[in-house]
Amino acid sequence: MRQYIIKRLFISVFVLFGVSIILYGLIRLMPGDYISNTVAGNPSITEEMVVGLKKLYGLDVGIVEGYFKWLGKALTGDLGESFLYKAPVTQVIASKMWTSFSLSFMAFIIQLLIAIPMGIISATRQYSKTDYAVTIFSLIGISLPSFFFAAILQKTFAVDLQLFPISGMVTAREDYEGFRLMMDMAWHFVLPIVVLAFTSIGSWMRYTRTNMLEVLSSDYIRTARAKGLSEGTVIYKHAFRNTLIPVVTMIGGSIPSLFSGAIITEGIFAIDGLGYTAFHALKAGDIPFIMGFNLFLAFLTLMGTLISDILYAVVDPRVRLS
Amino acid sequence: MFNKKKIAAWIISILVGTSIILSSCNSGSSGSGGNKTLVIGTAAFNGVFNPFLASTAYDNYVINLTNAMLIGNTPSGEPVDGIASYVPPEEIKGDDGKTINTVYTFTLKDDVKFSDGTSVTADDIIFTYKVLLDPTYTGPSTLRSTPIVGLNEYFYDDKDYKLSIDKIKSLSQNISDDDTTKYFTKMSEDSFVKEGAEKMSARLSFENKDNLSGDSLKKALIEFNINDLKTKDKDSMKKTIQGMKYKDLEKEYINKNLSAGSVDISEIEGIKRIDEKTVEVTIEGVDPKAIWNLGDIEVASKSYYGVGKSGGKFVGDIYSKGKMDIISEKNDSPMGAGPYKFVEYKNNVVSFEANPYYYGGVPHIEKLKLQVVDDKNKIPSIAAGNIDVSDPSGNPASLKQAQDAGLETITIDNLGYGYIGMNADRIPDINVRKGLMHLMNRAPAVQSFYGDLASVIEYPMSRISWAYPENAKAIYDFSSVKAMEYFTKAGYKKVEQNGKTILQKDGVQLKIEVGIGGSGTMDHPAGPIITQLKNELESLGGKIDIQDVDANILFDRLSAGQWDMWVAAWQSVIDPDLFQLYHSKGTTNHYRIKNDKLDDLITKARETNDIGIRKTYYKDALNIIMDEAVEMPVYQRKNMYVYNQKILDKNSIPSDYSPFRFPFTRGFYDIEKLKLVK
Repeated sequence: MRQYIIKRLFISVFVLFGVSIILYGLIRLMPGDYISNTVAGNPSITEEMVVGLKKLYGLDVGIVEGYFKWLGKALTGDLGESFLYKAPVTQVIASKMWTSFSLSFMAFIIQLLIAIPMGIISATRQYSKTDYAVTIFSLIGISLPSFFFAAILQKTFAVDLQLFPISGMVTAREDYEGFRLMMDMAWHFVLPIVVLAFTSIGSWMRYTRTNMLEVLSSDYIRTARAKGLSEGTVIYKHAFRNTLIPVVTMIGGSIPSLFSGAIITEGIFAIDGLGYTAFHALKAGDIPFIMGFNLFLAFLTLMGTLISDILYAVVDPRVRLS
Repeated sequence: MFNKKKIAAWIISILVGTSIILSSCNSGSSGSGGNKTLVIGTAAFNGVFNPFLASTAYDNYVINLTNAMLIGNTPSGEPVDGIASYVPPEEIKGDDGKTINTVYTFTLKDDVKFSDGTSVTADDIIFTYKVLLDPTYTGPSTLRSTPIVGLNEYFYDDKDYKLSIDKIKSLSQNISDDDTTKYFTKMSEDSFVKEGAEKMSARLSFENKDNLSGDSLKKALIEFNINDLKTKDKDSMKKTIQGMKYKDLEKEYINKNLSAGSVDISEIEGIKRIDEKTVEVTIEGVDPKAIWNLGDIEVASKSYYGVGKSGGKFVGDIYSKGKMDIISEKNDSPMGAGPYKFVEYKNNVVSFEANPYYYGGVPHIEKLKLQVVDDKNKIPSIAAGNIDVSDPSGNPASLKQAQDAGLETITIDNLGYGYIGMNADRIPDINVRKGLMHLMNRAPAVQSFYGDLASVIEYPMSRISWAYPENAKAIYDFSSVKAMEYFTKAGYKKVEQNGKTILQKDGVQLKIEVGIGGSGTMDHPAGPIITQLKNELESLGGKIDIQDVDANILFDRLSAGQWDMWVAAWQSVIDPDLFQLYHSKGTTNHYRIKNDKLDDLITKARETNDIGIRKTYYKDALNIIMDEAVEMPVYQRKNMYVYNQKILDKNSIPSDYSPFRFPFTRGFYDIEKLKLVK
């Protein structure tokens, strides 16, 4: 297995390299660069200043030359300084990703706790009223745009019932610390976590349901029933464990993506996460940050698939990686 | 099997562990806020809290609080004492009566201290200027555009700067045949990019006999255009080429000199330290904007910003020209002589405490917080008590929302205006432009979008500027009859074709393309004007193609001169200088307006500090601009502020707020005087 992992990591390097070429090309082809965006609407900028600024930001060179300049630095671990945040890209990503991660991770746990049992229930009672109810519920979740669902939650739970704060990460007025601060943050994160969880419960539920149905129609389940085992034992001991195989691999694969942030939800709830930060950088044409962030995403995706392949071998004794 | 289970268990427990640790590793500062704190809601920060580098309005809010201005301004936008006293500049005239130099003197008031307790000195002012003028400076300041004596020598590190520029000038006068070929090709390629194949063929009356397409059509058109240029007036073509060559050589010079390593010139001749408290700045000639460029700066501490830090202790390098990295090290910890002291920026909240050394008196409110809030949540958040003050976007709906919630509102005119522009290069016939102006119905659009929070303006200038003409009246009233008269004057006729009316001249239909940034749904104050313009023009037989695009695309195409007509807004500064916008040599003259009389007026208005004289120049200049019909002024809007009067004492809010003195946000004027309700 070690050899397999090393081989996969080795291939990943080449994939990242290819991704970086495509990314850089696309970013440079976007209309408007950082300088023209910042000076637009400022009537006191002179042409000489624009030329000078483009030079200082390294925007005076062509795409190919610019890419190799970027690559040369990136290979030494220097992803450059963000135009917008005026700090090293790695530092900006590192300072924001844990906020995004804690938010997404909590939402992820809640999703699984709700989605997996619901998927199993609706599979075991296929075409029953419960099945339809669960399916409708989860499809509503998938279909609701997060900004709309967030607005409903804010209106109901924050404005009308005043159970939760409307937005923000902490109560600005108070200088809480330690445990109080933790509780205060948790209180502020409830609504955004509900938004993130509810809008993606559906896909997990459907995934579990499909897998469960597949397992339920297999031969060994018929054998188990024929042996005269109770329905509960058949489902929770024989079927459920086998359903978990693909689910666990999917879970493992999703974990890295929890770092990537949620653009819309973070914006609405004023959470200082990676998604909203990246969105601003993209709008401003902050090349070093967009490059760094997208490579980070590419890296997470590669890690996700690798983890899910490894977990597949871990949970399913029939699979051998070589 | 046991092993594999163990691995899975490890992965999950590590992840759970880290997320819990990370969400709990934040530690707050001490003390309880309670009723000593005011919370202001703002938009998201970039975290560049540096008086030199902060570029967004919100990062600048932080700097406005921590740093103090050298020179302030009165409610009507005239200079007044800041941390230094304001003295009108002294003009030094030559024998011919023309001003050669203007000298500005800034003398610091007694007992002005930074929030770390050290005194502000002349060295700090000079240090601030030098950083803003550093050749590797990448921030938003435009101090560089002020003609300070010796500035170019310092900036390009070239003591013979004037000679170098003269050399470039004389070099660009000599045009070789190679130059002609090079620039004719460049001009033709540029026109191809700007116009596209269809328009270019029409302009050149190019007959596509061989049915070319794609690259071969491009090649043929460019060649055709080059031959066309060769037939044009030799002298004016020569001038154009000289201009282009000069720009290329200048660019080469800038690039070469900015990358030079060693420092030869370390002082700016025109910036002098007179004594401990006084700095004298000499500029070439007269520049009425200079007082703002020089005085509207946040003075930074040389001993704080000019010294590199290492492990929290100031032991590193000392700032000298080119070492901007020392300056940007302090992006996360601003320090200055402002009313508040920066405490921390964490979890989207910036915390401050009153600066005990503030020269304007210690602020009454002990603690101040800036909390990031999405614009749509601002009013509900004030109503719910999460924040106390904010500046939601002003429109009839938000105004009503605030009033329904029982909150107090303040509206203040915005320093800027919205307009619809036309490119005179692309719509060269002034009568066509005038015709189009008569098809713009502004009042109902502005009323429906802003209600009472905006009004129609008649000249392209913020109404609050002293240069806005008095008793202004509409010049192009909405009238399709008058529009048709102008179109007829321009040679357009209505022709019936296949049962449709076509407005055409020499067989070509009147067609224009409009760029607007309306989020894809024409959600823009000028949206209805453009929609109505389209209907009106189409009923006359013309055609309008509306492109609702992203702001990046809008401005990118605008600076490349690729819109016939576009919708945008200008953010103004205190001085109403028109040079960059309307002078034929202005950088942002997107209207491509070239009028010698206008150029002359704009230049003259820049050559005196006398507001009375400038006013008359501007009046004439604005009338010429309106007559050229390149820009339809649309609206002057107001900014809205909402606050919770149960928290913030209404009586403590300064009554002399104005577009130049905002009470709660930009500038935070008189924030030290605000009080909380007890």
